[in-house]
Amino acid sequence: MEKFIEITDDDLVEISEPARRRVADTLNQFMKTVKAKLVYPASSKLPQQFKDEFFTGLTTLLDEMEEIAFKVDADSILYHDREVYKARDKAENFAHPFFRDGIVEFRFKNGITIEELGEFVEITSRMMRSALVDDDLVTLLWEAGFEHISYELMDDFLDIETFEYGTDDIKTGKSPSKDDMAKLYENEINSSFTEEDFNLDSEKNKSKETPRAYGNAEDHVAEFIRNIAEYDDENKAAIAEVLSAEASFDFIKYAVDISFEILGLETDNAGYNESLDLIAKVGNDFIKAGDFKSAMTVLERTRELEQVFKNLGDSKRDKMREFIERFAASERIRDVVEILNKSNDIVYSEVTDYLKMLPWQAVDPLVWALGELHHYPARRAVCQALEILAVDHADLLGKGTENPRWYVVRNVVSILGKIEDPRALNYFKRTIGHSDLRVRKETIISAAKIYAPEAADFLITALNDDDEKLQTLALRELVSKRIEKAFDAIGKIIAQRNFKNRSTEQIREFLEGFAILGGQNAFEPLRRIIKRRVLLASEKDKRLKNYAVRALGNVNAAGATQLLEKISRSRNGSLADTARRTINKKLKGNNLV
Amino acid sequence: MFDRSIKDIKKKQRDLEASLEQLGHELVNVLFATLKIATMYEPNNNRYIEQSNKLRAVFNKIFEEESDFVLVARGGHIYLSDVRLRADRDSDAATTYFLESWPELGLSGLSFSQDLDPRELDKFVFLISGFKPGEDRDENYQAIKRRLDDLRIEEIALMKYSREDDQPDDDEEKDKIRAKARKTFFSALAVVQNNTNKARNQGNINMAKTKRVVQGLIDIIIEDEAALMEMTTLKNFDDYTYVHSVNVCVLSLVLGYNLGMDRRRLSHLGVGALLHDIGKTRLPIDLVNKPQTYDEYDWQMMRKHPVYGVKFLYKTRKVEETTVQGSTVIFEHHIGYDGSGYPELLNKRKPSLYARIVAIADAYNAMTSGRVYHREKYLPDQAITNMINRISKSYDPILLKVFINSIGIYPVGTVVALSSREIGIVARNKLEDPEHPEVKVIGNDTGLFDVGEVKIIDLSDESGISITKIIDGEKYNIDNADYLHIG
Repeated sequence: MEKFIEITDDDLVEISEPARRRVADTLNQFMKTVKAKLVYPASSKLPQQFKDEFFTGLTTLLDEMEEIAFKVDADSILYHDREVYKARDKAENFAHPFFRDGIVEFRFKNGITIEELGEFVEITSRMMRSALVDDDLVTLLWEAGFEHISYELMDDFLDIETFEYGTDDIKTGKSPSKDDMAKLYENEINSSFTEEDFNLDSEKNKSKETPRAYGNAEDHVAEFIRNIAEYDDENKAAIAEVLSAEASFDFIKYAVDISFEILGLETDNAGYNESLDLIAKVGNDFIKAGDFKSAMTVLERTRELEQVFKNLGDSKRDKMREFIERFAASERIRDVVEILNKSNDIVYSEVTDYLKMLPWQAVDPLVWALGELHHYPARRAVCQALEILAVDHADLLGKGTENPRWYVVRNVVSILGKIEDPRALNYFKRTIGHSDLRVRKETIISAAKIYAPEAADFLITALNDDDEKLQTLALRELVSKRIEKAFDAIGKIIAQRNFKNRSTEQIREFLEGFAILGGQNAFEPLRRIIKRRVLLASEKDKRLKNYAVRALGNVNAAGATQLLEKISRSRNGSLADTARRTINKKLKGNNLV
Repeated sequence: MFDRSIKDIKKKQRDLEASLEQLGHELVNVLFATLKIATMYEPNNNRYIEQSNKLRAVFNKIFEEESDFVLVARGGHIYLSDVRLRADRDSDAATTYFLESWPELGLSGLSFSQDLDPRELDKFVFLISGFKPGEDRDENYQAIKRRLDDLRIEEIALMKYSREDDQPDDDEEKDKIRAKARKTFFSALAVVQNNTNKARNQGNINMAKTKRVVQGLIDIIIEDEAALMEMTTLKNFDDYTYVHSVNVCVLSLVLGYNLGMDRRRLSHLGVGALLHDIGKTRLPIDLVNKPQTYDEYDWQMMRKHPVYGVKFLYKTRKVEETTVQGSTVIFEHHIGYDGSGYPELLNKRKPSLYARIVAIADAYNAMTSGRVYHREKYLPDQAITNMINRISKSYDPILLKVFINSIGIYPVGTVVALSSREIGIVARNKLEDPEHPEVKVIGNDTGLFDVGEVKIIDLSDESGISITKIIDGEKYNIDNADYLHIG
C-alpha cells in the first residue's frame, strides 16, 4: 500500500503545509479512484463516486493555485520537490506507469473538466493493469489531446538512434553545370512554349483555366484538376461518410475475418500451418483480454470450417481436427483460468458459450480448472460447459471424483448426475463414502437422477449414512421414485429399537415413506408399532405411535381403514385425534405424499 | 525625469503597435484560411475544428491587448485598431482576398467585442464562407446583417466596406519547425530501420517507439505540413525501402489530417503506414531491391508480402486495436477500391479507410521515386494524372481528391518552370489555391542563383507569374536538398 509523507513546518518554503497536505490528499483521491476502477466491476458506482470527489477536490485547489505540477520518480511522486506519494510495493506503484514511459512531470490546469479527468483516470487505470502493458501511456495521453492536463517527457527517453540531423548527408553533391542548364532550357522551356506563354500580361496567362502543367491532360483529368479545391455537397457528404464508416470499424471482427481470409489463401502446407497458428494466436489473445465472446467467434468459425472439411479426404481435415483439439490443451485452459481469476469484468455467460464449443478433450483440463478458479460464477460457467462436453465422456469426467479438493468432487458429481449416464454410478460408489458431507449429499441427489437399478442401491446405502439429513434426503429420493426395493431397508430401520429417538421429522418421513413404498405390506409392521404395549410409555413412544397412525393413511388396505376407524373411537385422545385427521384427509384424497 | 517618462510611454506605445501589427497579420491569415476551410468541411469536421481553434487562439491573443477591436480596410491597407498592417509578402494572398472580395459583400470592416463567444465566431465564419453575394453590395451587406441578427451574433458588428491582410511566419520560427521536422523524419527513418531488422529476425518491433515517432510526425503536420512534405522529395538515401515507408507515412498523414481525422485515428493510420511493407522483410533482399523489372515469379513472391506482414504482426504483437488497424493497412494496401489487386480475396470488398489512404500514398511515392515497383520514375503531374486515370478502380475518388488537394497539383519540392522563364522549387502549397503555390526561385537561363540570392514568390499575388511545366530536377542535377533551409 502507498503511504503519504508527513510534511513538517521546516519543509515549507513557498507552499504552506495545509496547502501541501491538501494537494497530497487530492493525489490520494486520484489513486483511490484509479484503484476503485481496477477492483470494482464496471457496474459499481464506487469508482464514479471517488472520481466526483477527486474532481471536486482538484478543481477547488486549482481555483486557488491555477496549476498543480507533480514530478515523477521511479516509485514516488513529488510536489514542489517534496515526496507526496511513495509506493510500498511493486505491485501497486502508481508512479511506475508514468516513470516507465518517460513522463517526468504531469500537470493539472485550472479549467479542467470532469470528462478530461475521467479520461485521465481511465487511461491511468488501463496502464496499471499489467495485462495491457502493450499500451504506451504517453501515446494514450497524446491521443486524448487534453487541454488542461499536460506532461513533460524525459529527453530522448526512447533513445532512438537517428542519422545526422543536418542535410549534408542527404545531398547528392551534384549541381547543374552550364551545360545542364542549357539543356534544361532547350528541352523543357524553349521547345515547349511560345512567346505568349512568357507574356505575363497575356489573357491566356491571366485566365483561370486548367493549370498549364496539366494542359495536355485528357478532359476528365483536366476537369478533376480544375475542381480540385472545390468541395461540393456531394464531396462533403462523401468525406463525412468515410469518416463515420471508419468510426464503426469493428477491429475484433476484422482480426477474425482476416485470419480466416489468409487461411483461405494458403496453397501449401507450411503456409496452412502458419495460418492455423495465426488463428490460434488471435483466439488466445482475445481470451487473455477477457473477451470470450470474440474468442468464441474464432472457435465458431473454426468449427464451421471443420464441417466444410468433414467430407474431404485430404490432410486438411485431419489438420483441422488436430487444430481444434489444440483449443482444449491444458495451456489454453490455463490461460482461461488466469484471466477468470484476474479480471473483474467478465461476462460469464460468454465464458460458458465459449467453453461449450470446445472439443471433448477439454473435459480433463476443465475439471482441473474447477479446482483453480477463485470465483463462484467462473466455476459455474465451467460446470455448465462440462454438462455439454462430458455427455459422451462420463468416464473422463468421473476421474474428477479423485480430485483432492472436495468442491471439485462435488461439482463433478453434480455434473455426472445431470448427464444421467449410468456409468456415473461407478464413481458414486466412491463419493457416497466421501469424507465431506457436501459431496455425499450431492452424490445422493445425482444418483437419484440416474434411471438405473444400481442408482437405488446408493440411495438405500445412504439411508444409513452418518448424517441424518442425508438419510432423509435419500429416503425422499427413494420414495419420490417409488423404489420398492427400499421397503425392506426402511423396515429394518424403523424396527430398530432406537428409531424412536430420532427427530420428529425423520420419524414422520420414514414411517410415511415406508407406508407409501410398502402399501399393504406396510400395514402389519405399522399396526405392530401402534399396538405395541409399553409399560410407562414415554413421550417418544407416543410420538412414534402417532406417526405410525398417520402413516396408515398411505396404506391402501381395508385393514388399515378399519384400524384407523377403530383408533378414532378409542379413549386415547391423542391417537384418536390423529386417526380422525388421517381419515378425513384420506376421504378428501389428500393423502400425505 | 519628465523626458524619460515620455520616452517610456512612447516606447510602450511602439511596443503595443508592433504587437498589434503582428497579431493583425496573424488574424488576417488565419481568418482567411478558416473561411476557405469552412467551404470544404462541415463545422464538426476535425479539420475545421483544428483551424477554428487556431482562429480562437488569435482572437484570445488580441483580446489580451484590446478589449474590443476593429479590422478595417482603408486606402488599400488593412488596419487592426488603427495600426496599419504593413505589406507583407507572405500575406499577399489573404490580403488580396479581403481587399477584393469583402467590398463585394458590402463590408468595409468588422468590430469584435471581448464577450465574443467561440460559437458565434464559428457561426460567423460559416455565414461568410457560405454567402453567395449578389450584384448589389448594399443588399449583400443588409442580407449579411439580417443573418447576423437571425443567428444572434451580437459581439461581431459589421462596418460597411473593408478588407484584410496576412501574417508573416517569422524566419526563426520557420527554421525551428524545419529542424524539428528534419529530426522527426530521421527518427522515423531510424524506427523503420530498427523495426525492419527486428522483423527480419522475427523479433518484436518496438510499438511504443513507432507510435511516438508517428505522434511527432503528426504534431509537425498540424504545425506546418510543408516542412515535412519537402523531406519526402529527397532521394539520396542508401536504402530507399526505409525512406519509402516514412514517405508513405507522411503522405498518408497529410491526407488523413486534411480529411479531418482526429489524433487517435491519425496515430493508427500513421502506425499502419509506417509498417505497411513490414511483410517484405520475409522476402529475399535481392528481390526487394531488384533494379530490373519483376518477372512473373518475382511478382508471385512479392504478392505474398501483405500476408507475411499480417502474420508477423499478429504473431509478435498482442491483437488489439492499434495492431489490427495496422494489419488492415498491411493486408489491403495493394487491394484496389473495386476489390481488385492482391491478395486476391474470395469475396471482393472495398479495403478499409486506412488501407485506401495508404494505397494512394504508396502508389504516389512509388511512382515519383521510381525506386519501388515502378522502375520508371514519374514526375508529380504524371503520377497524379496516372492516378486520376485509375480513380474508382484503384483509388477511392474522394480520398484521391483530398490527397491531390493536400499535396497540391504542384507538390512541395517539385522543380518547376515559371512563366517568368525562371526555374523554381515549390515551397508551400495552399489548400484553397493549389494552382498558385509559394515557389523558391532558384535560377534562370543564365544558371542557378547562389543560395543567398534565392527568393520566394507567392504565385497567388498580383505578379501574374504562373507555373508552366514540371521539370525532372534530377535529370539536370538539381538537388532539392540544397534548398531545404530556404523559405
